Amino acid sequence: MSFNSIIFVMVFLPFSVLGYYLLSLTPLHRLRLPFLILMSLIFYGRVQMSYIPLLLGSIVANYLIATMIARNMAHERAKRFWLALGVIGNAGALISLKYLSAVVGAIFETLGHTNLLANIVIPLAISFYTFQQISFLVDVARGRVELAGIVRFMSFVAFFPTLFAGPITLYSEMGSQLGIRPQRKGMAQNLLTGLIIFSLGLFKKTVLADTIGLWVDPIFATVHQGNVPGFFLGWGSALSYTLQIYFDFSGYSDMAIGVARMLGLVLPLNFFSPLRSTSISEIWRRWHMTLGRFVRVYIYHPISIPLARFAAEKGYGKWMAMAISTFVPTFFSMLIIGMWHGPSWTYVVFGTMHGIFMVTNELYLSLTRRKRHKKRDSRTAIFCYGLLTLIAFVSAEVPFRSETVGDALRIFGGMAGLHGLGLTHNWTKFFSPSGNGIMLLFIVLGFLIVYLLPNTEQIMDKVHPALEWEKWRIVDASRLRFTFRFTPTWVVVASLALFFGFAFISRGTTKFIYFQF
Amino acid sequence: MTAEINTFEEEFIPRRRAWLLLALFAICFISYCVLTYLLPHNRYVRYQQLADSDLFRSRWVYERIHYDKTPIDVAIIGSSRLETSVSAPTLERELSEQLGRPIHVANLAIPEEGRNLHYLVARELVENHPETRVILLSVVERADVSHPAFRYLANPVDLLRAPLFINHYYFLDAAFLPYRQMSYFVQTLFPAWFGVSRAFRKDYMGTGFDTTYSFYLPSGKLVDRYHVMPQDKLEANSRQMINELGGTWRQPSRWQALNFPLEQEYTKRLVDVAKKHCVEVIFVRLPFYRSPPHMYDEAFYRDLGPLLDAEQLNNNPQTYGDAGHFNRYEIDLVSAWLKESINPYLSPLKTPASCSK
Repeated sequence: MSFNSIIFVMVFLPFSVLGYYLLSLTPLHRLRLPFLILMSLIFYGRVQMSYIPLLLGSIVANYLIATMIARNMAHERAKRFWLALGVIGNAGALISLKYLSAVVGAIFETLGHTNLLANIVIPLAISFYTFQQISFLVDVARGRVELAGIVRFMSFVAFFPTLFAGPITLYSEMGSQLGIRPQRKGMAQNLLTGLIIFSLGLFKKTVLADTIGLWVDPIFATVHQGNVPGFFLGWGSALSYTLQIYFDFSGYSDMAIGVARMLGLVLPLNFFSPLRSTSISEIWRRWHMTLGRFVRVYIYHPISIPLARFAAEKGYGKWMAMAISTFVPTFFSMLIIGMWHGPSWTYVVFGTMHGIFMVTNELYLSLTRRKRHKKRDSRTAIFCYGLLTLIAFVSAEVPFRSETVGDALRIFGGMAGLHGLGLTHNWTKFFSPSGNGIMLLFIVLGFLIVYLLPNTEQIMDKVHPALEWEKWRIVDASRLRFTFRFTPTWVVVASLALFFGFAFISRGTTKFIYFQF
Repeated sequence: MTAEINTFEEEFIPRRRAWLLLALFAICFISYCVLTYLLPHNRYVRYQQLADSDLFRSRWVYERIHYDKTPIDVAIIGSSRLETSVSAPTLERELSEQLGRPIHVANLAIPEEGRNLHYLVARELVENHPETRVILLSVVERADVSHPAFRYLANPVDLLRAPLFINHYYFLDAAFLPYRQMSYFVQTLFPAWFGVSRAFRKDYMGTGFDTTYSFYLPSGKLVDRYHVMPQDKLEANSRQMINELGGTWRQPSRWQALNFPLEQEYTKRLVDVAKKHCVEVIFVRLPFYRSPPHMYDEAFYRDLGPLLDAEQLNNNPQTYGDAGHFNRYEIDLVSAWLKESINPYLSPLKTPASCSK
């Protein structure tokens, strides 16, 4: 089941919310979390029933390991053993189910044999719930969280709003919230707040992302057939896809935040107007923020800190120490982020490009640190940083979307002008509903929305829309500033977002892009 | 560790106000939906929506009924079984020769099952062609589904007046309306931009259009009506169909009938509207390959009108393009059989029993 389906909006969501509150407000309140788990399993099972045992098995196994870690907090070796077992087990399951069939398949095909693992379907959401559980085990070992029963843990991992595509939450931020029994007080405001955030997300997905997708998908399909795009079409496809995935994934994240809020739970931010960033490292602090956080806390730091110690012990010079302690882990982390998306060379290229961009960015910051301390950047410089960041990010989206590296190279060729400008002479076709003129219009409109309007959380500023909001609310105000007011006029406008979002489902909405990861 | 947050502790909107705003939100949402139902649009534009799908002939059906003034004495309505197997020009020629006067036959069948669409087509037909005497309506083993074209082609009122009780399609069809109505409204305003037309199009396929010939789908795929399915595949295909129908046929239980209300409800509605216009509805069942006899709810249809069953035609593997459809080699046999069977209903002296015309 998906958020952008009639059945979810009309049946599943109202039933889940109603059931959750009915149980919470009666003597049966102890059943509210089991009910949430049940609804989450139905939500998952509607798409992939066969992997429910894997999901449940993974949850139970991780909880047992966490129990062993908690029991052995005083015994460092035993604790490390159980932690290592848990991390390796999770990572092993993820790698084997997500990558093994592709790797084995490639070997079989190279040897001219039939791929025996070709029919293995990658379990849905495995990347997301595996990361959540690894972070849980590490946090238990670090003494950051305490176990509060398997029911609460299960409702945290299988929590349907975040199950398929995040935000990747931490037990430390969700566990205590799940333990709070909802009350009448605050119920209506949570429902209303959640509904508005959900509506904005649905609008982003079905009206904006899916509309842009109408032009993007055919272009990438024709490139896959061997066609080469000209300069304008190359850039048009890259820019359009960037907008599509932004509205798609940030729309999904808004919907997850909205649904959780309807249940009284506050999730972490996953997007914060990343396309307005002025550096590539900033974009990664604002794009798929919870994945970035996971990689930073559980991959980058564990690699970077020992390497920094190693460089210090060896007495390396400034640049060598920086290369070892910063550049190498940065590049490696970006590569991991790229490869996390799946077993394809296109994701390796995507990760490598971002790794190069990030290292270049770090290098530039190191070289200009003294100068930048003395003088603030001019508006022109900030504009140029933003433009350069956007170009880099948009370019890296090309291999991300392409079927093969060859396709990506053809589009890069087009963007570099190797296949001509590709200007049209047929203006009637250009301005037809499927013409590139409309694509151009949507690119302009999309970037105007990105640059001028506040993001969903900024609009909902007054109601603490996400965790750590105090930190984010002061960051990067939009050109046009407004916040939602709880007045009839604003509610009438907000319900329009739900109406259009809902109506456009029937146009033929597509799967969320991040469902495949 | 993140600071503990409890969204139920602090009320930033007074509770009563929050409930009122929530109610207003719901009322506005419903109002917008209702307003879209009232948006006007051109019905011909509606019937051009499926041009890129396998159901593209729905446009021709509309044109034949609304723009083509040639009479329709016998209309064939149903799914691909009748569409592929009954050649309207052949049947028309044979009936005219036999009766000694011109009889006009139109095959208005559209692929896919779904009695609700048959009802729509039949209603359009009898309301616009009062001369129609006979509707040949397809009967298949089990077809308790909503036709995929129904939500595109039905009036909003038809969609909302569909049977509500345990109708799996009701809310999906109703939820489809807001987008559809907005889309049709805009397309009616700017038809050229969307490649549709408000006026009768010149590329009409003509009165004598024969649905039994090979053609290309809009996707470019050839539908070869001369294809003979290899017998092993045909047998396997047939066995699969029988298995999907539950192996051995049993009369549908009361519960099943409740669970799938569309076939019975819309068949009754169709017969009613036909009767009102003095049109005889004859049920026609063309069997799939090696289909067991009487593998359908025979009693239900016999209560409503005559039932013709071509069970005798189900054994020749050379005449099947796939297990469910005859190929071109069976056309003459089907026409000859139909000609004999429906001849009595076209007699000029005979008036349908239920009709006071």
